[in-house]
Amino acid sequence: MGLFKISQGRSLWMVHFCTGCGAVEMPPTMTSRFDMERFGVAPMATPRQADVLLITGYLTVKTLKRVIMVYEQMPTPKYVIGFGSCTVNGGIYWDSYNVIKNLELYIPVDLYIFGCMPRPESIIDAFLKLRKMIEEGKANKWKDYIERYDWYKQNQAKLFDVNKWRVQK
Amino acid sequence: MKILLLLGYWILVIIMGLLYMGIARKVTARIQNRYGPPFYQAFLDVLKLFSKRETASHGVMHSLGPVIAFAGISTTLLFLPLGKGAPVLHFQGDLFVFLYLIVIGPLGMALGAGESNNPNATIGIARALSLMLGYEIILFMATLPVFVHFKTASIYEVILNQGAFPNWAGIKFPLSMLGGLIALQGLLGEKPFDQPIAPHEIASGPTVEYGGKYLGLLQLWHAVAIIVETGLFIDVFFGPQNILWFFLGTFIVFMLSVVINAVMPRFRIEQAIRFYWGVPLLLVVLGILQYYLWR
Amino acid sequence: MYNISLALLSILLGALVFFGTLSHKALRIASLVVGILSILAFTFLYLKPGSLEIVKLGVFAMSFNLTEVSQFFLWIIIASFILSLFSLLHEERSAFFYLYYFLAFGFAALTVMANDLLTLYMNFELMSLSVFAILLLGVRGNTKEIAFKYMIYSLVGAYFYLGGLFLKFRYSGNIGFGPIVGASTLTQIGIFVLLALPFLVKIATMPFHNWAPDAYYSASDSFTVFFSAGLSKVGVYGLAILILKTFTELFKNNIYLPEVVAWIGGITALLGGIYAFMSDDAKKLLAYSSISQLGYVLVGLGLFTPYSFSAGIFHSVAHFVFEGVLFVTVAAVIHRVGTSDLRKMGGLIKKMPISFIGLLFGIIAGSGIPPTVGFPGKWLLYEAIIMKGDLFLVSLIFFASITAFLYSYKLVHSIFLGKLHKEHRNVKEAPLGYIIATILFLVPLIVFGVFPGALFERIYTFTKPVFNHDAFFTLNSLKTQIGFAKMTVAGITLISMFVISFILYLVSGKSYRAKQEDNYTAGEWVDEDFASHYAQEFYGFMRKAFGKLLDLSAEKFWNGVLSIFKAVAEMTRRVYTGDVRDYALYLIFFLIVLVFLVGGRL
Repeated sequence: MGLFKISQGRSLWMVHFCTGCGAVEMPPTMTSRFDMERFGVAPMATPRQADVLLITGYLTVKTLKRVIMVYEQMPTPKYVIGFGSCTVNGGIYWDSYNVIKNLELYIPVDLYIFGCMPRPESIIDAFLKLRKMIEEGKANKWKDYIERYDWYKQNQAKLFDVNKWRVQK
Repeated sequence: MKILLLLGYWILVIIMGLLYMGIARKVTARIQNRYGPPFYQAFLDVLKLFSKRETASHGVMHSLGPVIAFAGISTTLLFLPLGKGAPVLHFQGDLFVFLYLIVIGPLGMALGAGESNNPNATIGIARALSLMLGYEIILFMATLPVFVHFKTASIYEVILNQGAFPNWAGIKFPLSMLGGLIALQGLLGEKPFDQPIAPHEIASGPTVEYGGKYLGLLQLWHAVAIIVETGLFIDVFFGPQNILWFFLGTFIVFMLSVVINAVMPRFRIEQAIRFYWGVPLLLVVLGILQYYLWR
Repeated sequence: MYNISLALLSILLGALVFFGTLSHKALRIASLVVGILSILAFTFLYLKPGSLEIVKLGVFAMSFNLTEVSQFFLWIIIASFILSLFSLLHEERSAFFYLYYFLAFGFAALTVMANDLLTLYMNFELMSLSVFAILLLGVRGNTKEIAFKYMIYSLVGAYFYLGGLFLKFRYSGNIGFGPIVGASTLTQIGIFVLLALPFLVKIATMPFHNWAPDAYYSASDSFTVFFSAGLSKVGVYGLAILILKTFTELFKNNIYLPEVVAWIGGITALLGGIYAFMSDDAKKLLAYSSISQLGYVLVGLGLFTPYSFSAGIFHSVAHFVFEGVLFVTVAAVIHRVGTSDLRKMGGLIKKMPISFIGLLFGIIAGSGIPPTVGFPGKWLLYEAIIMKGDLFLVSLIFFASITAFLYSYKLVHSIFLGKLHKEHRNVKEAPLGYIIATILFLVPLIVFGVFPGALFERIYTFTKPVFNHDAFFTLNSLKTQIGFAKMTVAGITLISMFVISFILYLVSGKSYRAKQEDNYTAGEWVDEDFASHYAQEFYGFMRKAFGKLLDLSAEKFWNGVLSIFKAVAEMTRRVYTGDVRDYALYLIFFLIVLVFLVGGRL
């Protein structure tokens, strides 16, 4: 229903999970000066209560295992925002051996924010864009994870033991 | 029909409760010098939560926890008169029926949260129950002189016996009212008494494994609980003569506690319990002694 | 000789089960079933109320009479005995255990049928002796010491009772239940304290309660069902008889005695609740919970208004129902799991769902939530105390009832909710006997909760002659001068609201069953050895909150009294030096003193 889509767009709860150095831009966005709560975005303590996962900054293999666990524990429909240039192509760590360069192989990403780091205004712009995508019904990458589950697991298996680092269903 | 009227009151209270929650976020934001979400934000949150497709559950008891909690608080609501014109089911039960029905909500929630197999949830529940030892007794002793003064144990009779401004029980028993106000802060679970939720310490306590529709039911529970708890305080101490005054009174009391919530940090759990046995206990004991002197 | 043949029947059945146990396991179970059926048959076919029976034993004559009050309590004792036998079917004990079990029941039945104070005393003592023997055959802990402690407390109470009995005979010239004439108020209060003491010990009023947690912990689990639900009612019966028949005028006219008794009950209720939630053992927790709930009964009985007395008697029936089901389910759990330590159990709801439902309803009733049986007694007690105007007492009782939520949650969480431990993965549901007992307990739990008038009718027959009050109840509602409570409306509203929110739950989204390890652990991977069950130091932070209050100990007080007696005895012992010259000196001193005192007349 349209009303449900509107409410999903205007009430985005993010997992308070700071993966890399991009996370330092989250507190200014949350607090009084830039105030993302006026758009309905609020940080939540656990992935069970959240809708949107922010990959803030570079992602190493070590963190990728935890990100997969957190992503699989979120209830559907869920969205992922790649935050910072490192999520696009590795950013300033493009020649490191353990930084993930192509995030799309492992989890489906709805939106990317460029910048190193992106300013709070860009972050808020991204949330508003995500809201528009949800209202138009275009933010469906979570369905892709379910349909092509084996393909994603295959890619993840090249990096770590997927039998251990998955949520058993 | 009476049943339709009761259901109407129930839906009205849910809507007003969610409205209060939204306005509370706005007020908190303004205190923190920012804009804050729109006042209807709580409705959007609840709709979003109920539109989740697939959520995790840890078993039958875990799923039934929020259902029992919401059923309990809704039943309690139907025994609370909403001011003089809306007696609901008061003829069938009085204060003590109310006080014991209000426990069903937290009990159901506790059973469900315990089943989530997460120590954070159980720590939250243990803290919530222990905090009850602090504020419940203060709340009870604060309302006692009012009931005994009017020689009744029915909340509706207490409302009938009060009238316009100078006849309020809150003016006649000011110390008890102050004690009741402090107890209400604990009952509502607002800072400095929000140890059970404590997002930063125990990852939101009992709601740690609840998402989607369960969290939606818990938001609805919180909405009704706000009205029920502030409603008891307003009914006993200010006797609203119609339903509009009732909602105005609960709104003012709730905003007062939200303002305190916005500026205060959180006590440790044993500090919170011991606090209640200090000054608030003194206030309500003086209130009871005042009743004895007046008799 | 109709009614006292119940005792003869129980002795015979005891002997039957004794020989059955010695022969073969199947014969034990068969003889227990025969016992259940024959006692049921006797109760329904053969009991004759109102008949006076006298048994002559040489110089003494024991007289029995099944009055209204007696019949009421006899039914409770028989019901709790039968239900405990159902759970006893699955435990294997020595032959003597069963013999003493039936003997305890027989003497308890005789005690509530007694018609004068001496008969009451003799049967009460015989019952205590049988319980002592059962406690010696306990299953855990230091059984000899615990049984001995129980005996000492019972005996001290009994000796004080004898003193009161002699004093009553001196003033009234008889040992019946009639009032005392010609004694001053202070003497009457003294006699009341002396006579009430063994019953207060039986109800485990503070500070005479120290035997109870240990005895409940060490006794066999099915016996604890009968012990708590049935035998404690003998104590309630004794107090009820004393207050209703012997000391009626004293309680009516004196303003201090009812208050003191009620406050003792209130403090017992509160401290019992506090010690309950600080316990780490399931049976000790339930023992303290029993002590706390019987504190409410004492408040009701002692306050001596028509409403509070009826509330006290009703709550003792409620206590029988919900403590019974709690002890039966905990016995079933201990039977399957093998330990009673709360810190070692968890998650058993997945394996023992019926026991969980029994325990759940037990704690709902124990917390006093309408429309279960625990609510009407508490409601009426609150109304009674408020009508009397005792605002501080009612606050104390309310505080005590909040502690009930704390220990109830600790019990249900540590056993049934949370994480299922690896070693309990093969635990099966409780055996059939426990399940039958649980279901049979649940019936009165709901029925008497929704229709309390059924019980209040019976109670009214023996409170009306004393208080002369109007009926305040109908079948499903209670009405006093200040308040009104209709149980069916509360029940129906609750069920309909539950149905509505369940529908709301069903129409939204789907849910999938997540495994135990699929939990919020901040994204970390965990396996099944991960310690995620919160059972150690459950309310540990309450120690800091309560501080010095928890150091109060009646046991330390009695040990102090004991050491004073020991010191005095040590000093006086030194008279016996074993040296003849000292004895000769004593004789000379005695003669000198005698000369001084009687000198002139020698």
